[in-house]
Amino acid sequence: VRNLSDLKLVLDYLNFACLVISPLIIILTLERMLRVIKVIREKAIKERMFWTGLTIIFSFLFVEFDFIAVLLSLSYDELAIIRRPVGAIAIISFFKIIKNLMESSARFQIERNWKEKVEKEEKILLTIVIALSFVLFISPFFIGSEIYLYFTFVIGMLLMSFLLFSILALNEVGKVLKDKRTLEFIKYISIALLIFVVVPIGNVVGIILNLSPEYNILRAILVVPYIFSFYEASKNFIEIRSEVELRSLR
Amino acid sequence: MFGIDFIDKHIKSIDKKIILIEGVSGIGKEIIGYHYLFEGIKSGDICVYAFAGRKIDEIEEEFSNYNMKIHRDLLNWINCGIEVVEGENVINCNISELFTISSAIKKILNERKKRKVRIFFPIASQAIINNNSLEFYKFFSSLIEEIKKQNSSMVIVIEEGMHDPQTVISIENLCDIVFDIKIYEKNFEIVPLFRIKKCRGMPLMLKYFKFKVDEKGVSIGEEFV
Repeated sequence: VRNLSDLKLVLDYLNFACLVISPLIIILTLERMLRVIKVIREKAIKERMFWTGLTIIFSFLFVEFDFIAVLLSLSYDELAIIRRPVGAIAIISFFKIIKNLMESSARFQIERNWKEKVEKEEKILLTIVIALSFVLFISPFFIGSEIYLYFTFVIGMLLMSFLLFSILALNEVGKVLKDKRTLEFIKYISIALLIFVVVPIGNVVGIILNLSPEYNILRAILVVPYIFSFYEASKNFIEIRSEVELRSLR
Repeated sequence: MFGIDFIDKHIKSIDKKIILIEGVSGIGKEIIGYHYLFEGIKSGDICVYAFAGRKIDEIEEEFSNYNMKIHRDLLNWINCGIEVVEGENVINCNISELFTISSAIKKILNERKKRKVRIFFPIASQAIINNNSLEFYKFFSSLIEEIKKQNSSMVIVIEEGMHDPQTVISIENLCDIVFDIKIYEKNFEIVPLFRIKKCRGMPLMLKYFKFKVDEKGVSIGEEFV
């Protein structure tokens, strides 16, 4: 990379590669989920799969808009009216996955204290999600005004709170649902959530510091592990054995 | 005994008292238990359902989803959840105090008046998590003794992967029959499989058979090659 225009070219290639690779991983993930859901009888697992599918689709749209913004050299604001509501739906779906896991843990750890703890954590997360969704939906209508920057800052703070409380809740869930598959699912959902929050926080910093989208190399690099973590999470809804594993069990 | 042809044929000759169903969550293990209780109701046995964190109406609805219409009065209910459930045939217990559950079951067994009792206990994993493996082992072994003495039977369900292998093996060793349900993937096909893993006095079944759940309930089909 000799100069800034070369760097932009490299970033454009990288973005384009992500734009192509991500949908392929998503198609593979969703296709497998559709095959697995047919054999699932438990409502809670079906719900977990549904919300994971929805999170994948909306997170995908969210990051694809970012790629388009970078490729077309649009400012963050120009796509905010589409990106932010899409991000809000992805956040709601993330919340639903975490809520589902918390409720599953309460079905196994049958204690009043645990139930109250779960309900309290759920209420905190729900409050954050409602506030975040509200700001994400209304803020694009204030682009250009001073309040828009304030809203952007609030989004950043709420995202960090959502990440913090979600990781705490998932950590608690992992203490009860100790089976390998659920622990793996929690691990990959936590990674996806971490990336999902880091990317818009990068955007928030970009908007506040008025940076050009090309500088956001972090986003392009993180998208593939982000989508891949969903792919890995989707392999862990339920234990599915291969032929070799099945033979060794006999 | 279950109203599922495959299972009834294979365990016909065995003195089956204690049956363990193990497998991954969400695959339909409990539906085998619904068949077991439904057959019991039809044969005039006393049927007991132990549950936690669910409503009786929900369970009734689940039965009817699989073409097994029951009324809550036909079953004896042992509620091990936090919320107290009112009802003549409901005994409220505490899952963290296993003796409350064994007392409730023993009470039903002692009042059976020559009728057989069928107990369905799908909350073994919850009982282990809320206590510990050793306490559960003691509770379960004393219960088995009582059930066998009273010429009755019990089906318990355990979630695969949730407990250490030693615990699972020790529970398996207490049971007369062990059903094993797994999910398998071959050539983009995802297939639930069933086998009788352990059968007292019989050789192990090494083959797996296709396990299917639809609106008619459970059916076990041809051998999976």
